[in-house]
Amino acid sequence: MSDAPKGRVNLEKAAVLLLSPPTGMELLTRIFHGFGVRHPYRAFDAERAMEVCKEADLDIIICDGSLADGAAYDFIAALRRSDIEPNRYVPAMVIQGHTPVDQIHKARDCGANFVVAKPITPRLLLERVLWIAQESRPFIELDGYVGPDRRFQNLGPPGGPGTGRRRADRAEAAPKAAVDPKESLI
Amino acid sequence: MTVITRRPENRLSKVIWVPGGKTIVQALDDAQANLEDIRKDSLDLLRGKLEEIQALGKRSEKAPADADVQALYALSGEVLDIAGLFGLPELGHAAFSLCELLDRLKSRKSWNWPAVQVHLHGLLVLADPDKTPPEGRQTVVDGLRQVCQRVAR
Repeated sequence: MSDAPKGRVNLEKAAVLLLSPPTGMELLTRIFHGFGVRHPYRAFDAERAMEVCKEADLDIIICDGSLADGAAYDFIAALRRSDIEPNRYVPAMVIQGHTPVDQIHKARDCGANFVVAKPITPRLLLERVLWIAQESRPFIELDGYVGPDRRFQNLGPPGGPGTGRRRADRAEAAPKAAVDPKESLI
Repeated sequence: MTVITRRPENRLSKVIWVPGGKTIVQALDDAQANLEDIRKDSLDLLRGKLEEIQALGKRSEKAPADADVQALYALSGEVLDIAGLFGLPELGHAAFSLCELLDRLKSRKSWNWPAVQVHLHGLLVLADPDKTPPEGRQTVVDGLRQVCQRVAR
């Protein structure tokens, strides 16, 4: 199988918080157990999730965006603006089904590292977890936004990578063009 | 406007590459096997949700109550949760399209029974994928998306 993913992943000691309503929680728990996470913290509502953030140092948070009234987005935004160290900086992924039109801005500005659209698969989730583990985006605090820098796509000079007139533009673009998390697992 | 930039440690990267653990192939196989253990229960649950959607849909022909529309939206979201993980991606896309349609109708404070009805029929067709070839299922999904977009105009 030429596109078989390579490498190993060790999530045995990872402190993972899963925030989801019951239907999604069962599915998420089974997937992350399969990935090797032994004892994920499980929260069915944002209040309990915030309590967990105060009790344990986390390595990643996975939120289901389908919690009522955009509670998952509110939780991430509140955590980012809190003084809970180091968890206010912890990578957070939102798994999003349909986003109601009145919550689109909330979803965009909550401060999540990654938003994954449903329907999900184990492969898609693990790809995004590996992607988050590799990223080194700075953390930005503004009046209207707290979270990882959203300007993380290096698109190169105008017109796309390698199309600038200077030789340096083309040289700079070349090694970056191949980086695409959708292509394969690391 | 003050901008504060920090470079916090990526805690996940500190644990995930530690020697040990499992191969990525094994991790994916184990996750899939864990899901297979609950396949039957999940598909039963999915069928129950679809029946609720159809029942709710039938009494929503004319000016349904807000609570019924909200329940229809929530049920469609739950179908989306389950369908993709158990080999029914087109059903998941159709459920998403119904969510989008209901949300657009809600924001316009209007109701469009024919558009909702065609989605209910689409869900029924896609819930039994063995009866429709893949290209036919995709055609259904594309059709539902077009209906949804037309409602937005």
